[in-house]
Amino acid sequence: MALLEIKDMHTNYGVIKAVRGISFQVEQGEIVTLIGSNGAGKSTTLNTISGLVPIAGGEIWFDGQNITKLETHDRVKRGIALSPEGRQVFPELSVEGNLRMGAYTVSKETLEAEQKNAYELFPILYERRKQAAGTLSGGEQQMLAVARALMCRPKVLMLDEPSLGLAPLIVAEIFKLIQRINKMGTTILLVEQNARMALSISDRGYVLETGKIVLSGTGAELAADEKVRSVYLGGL
Amino acid sequence: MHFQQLINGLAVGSIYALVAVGYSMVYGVLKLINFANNAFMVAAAFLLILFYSTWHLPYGLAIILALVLCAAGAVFMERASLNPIRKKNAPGISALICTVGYSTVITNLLLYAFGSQTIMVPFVLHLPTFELWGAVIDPFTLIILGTAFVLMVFLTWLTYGTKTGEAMRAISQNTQAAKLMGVDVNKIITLTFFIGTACAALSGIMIGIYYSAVDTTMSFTIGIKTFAAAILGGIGVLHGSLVGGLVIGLLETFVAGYISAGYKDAIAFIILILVLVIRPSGLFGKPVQSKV
Ligand SMILES: Nc1ncnc2c1ncn2[C@@H]1O[C@H](COP(=O)(O)OP(=O)(O)OP(=O)(O)O)[C@@H](O)[C@H]1O
Ligand SMILES: [Mg+2]
Repeated sequence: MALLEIKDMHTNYGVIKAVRGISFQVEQGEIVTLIGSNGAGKSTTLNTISGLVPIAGGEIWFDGQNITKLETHDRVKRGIALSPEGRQVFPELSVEGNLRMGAYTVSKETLEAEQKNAYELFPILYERRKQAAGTLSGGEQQMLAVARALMCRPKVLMLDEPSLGLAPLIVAEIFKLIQRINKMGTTILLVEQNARMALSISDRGYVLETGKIVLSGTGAELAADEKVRSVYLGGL
Repeated sequence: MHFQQLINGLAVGSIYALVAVGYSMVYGVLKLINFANNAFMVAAAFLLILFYSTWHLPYGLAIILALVLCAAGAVFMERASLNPIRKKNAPGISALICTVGYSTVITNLLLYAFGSQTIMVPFVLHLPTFELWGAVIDPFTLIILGTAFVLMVFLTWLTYGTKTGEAMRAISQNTQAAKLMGVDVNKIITLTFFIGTACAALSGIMIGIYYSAVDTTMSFTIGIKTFAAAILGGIGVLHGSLVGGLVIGLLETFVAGYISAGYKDAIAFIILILVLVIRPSGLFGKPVQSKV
């Protein structure tokens, strides 16, 4: 049984049908990537799984249970974390305060243990721990967003464009970290514009086009696919 | 004379501050001006009269019932009306006008039930006034100052020293992200309405006792001044409300004492306008930053 299973999911914004009946699974321990052009519905997919936007049809199953009707905070408690598009750190809280918020649903002991992990994964955050998150650089904020999402010890970590707007060197670093987090036991559902890099670390992937899944396969298969190469990998 | 004005100004100011806190707390989490805040403030004084003078409940119980009922009324407004409006992604102005609606309905109900005349607000402790440095001190002003002080300490601790307070601040900075942290946002919003309104309600009772009278127009006269106090200090900022309330309370008392009682409201607002021209987001408010 898959850890996360999406069955014929639909999401609308008023009359706009952003996601039109997609189905896919994420198995325990996998890294799965969703790729697609701007407006394909990638963020909408993750936001619907989180419960931030209401589902218009279909079901979401997690860990053997139907979570379609649960509110966001209950999904977080069950182990679904999202590091949203555009970082969304709490600008006036310190780095430490942001991490504490990440651990809102877990015990104090877990908070302390996970904070140690976070500082180990991202030493720069330890240096900046007293600083207001709004004053961090873009890359630092991205690291904070990822670290914050990890604080609740999620079973699945969803990352929406973690490399957006970052320098190539930092992008490589972020992808290495994603692999490391995955090796430590967290299942990853990744959304990326940087399809090449994302597919190279993924077990499997899905291609979204105007709200529908048009292609799926292993990371290597997708990276080798004609169409994916021409549309999403810049024709190389 | 100066000292007398100072004490009176501080007492009135700290009452204003507590009402301003009601506006400010709700604004902090929802970016909403809850105009029903002032109606609940006045309602509390009337409820005290009903519970104590008419129903003969013990005084302390009457006060607690009045506070809880007002706070519960605000929670009802949030659950029954504001929450559904928010869920439909309506523009902020819809929720705002909804609170104006509640304010009007509550004030009208009070008019219907108690009439438009000024009613005496009962107070059971007969404390003798005493003289201090040439001023005649009504001991009740000390109760007001003490209550305001204790409540401000409590609210500061709640906001900056507890997990719930951190969640409130997180919601105020980014509601979606707060949800993603596992915060039950609606629960925190409900709590905020409860506490904010209880503060305003307690102020309503204290101001009723202080002036020994209440009438429904206070919903407007004091409502607008305390709203001004919240804006003056920087709405959404706790200590801003405190300072805003004290500034307006002191100003109007001194103006009434040294210039003329007729000018006191105007002067408070002239100062408000001047401050806002120089610091549009209030004394302690953060300048609005548009997100890139
Ligand atoms: N809040 C919203 N209101 C209305 N329409 C929206 C909203 N959010 C997204 N959409 C629309 O839904 C569609 C899917 O958007 P979504 O953000 O999911 O795309 P995406 O694949 O994440 O794109 P990108 O790569 O640019 O982030 C788009 O057509 C977008 O315009
Ligand atoms: Mg997106």
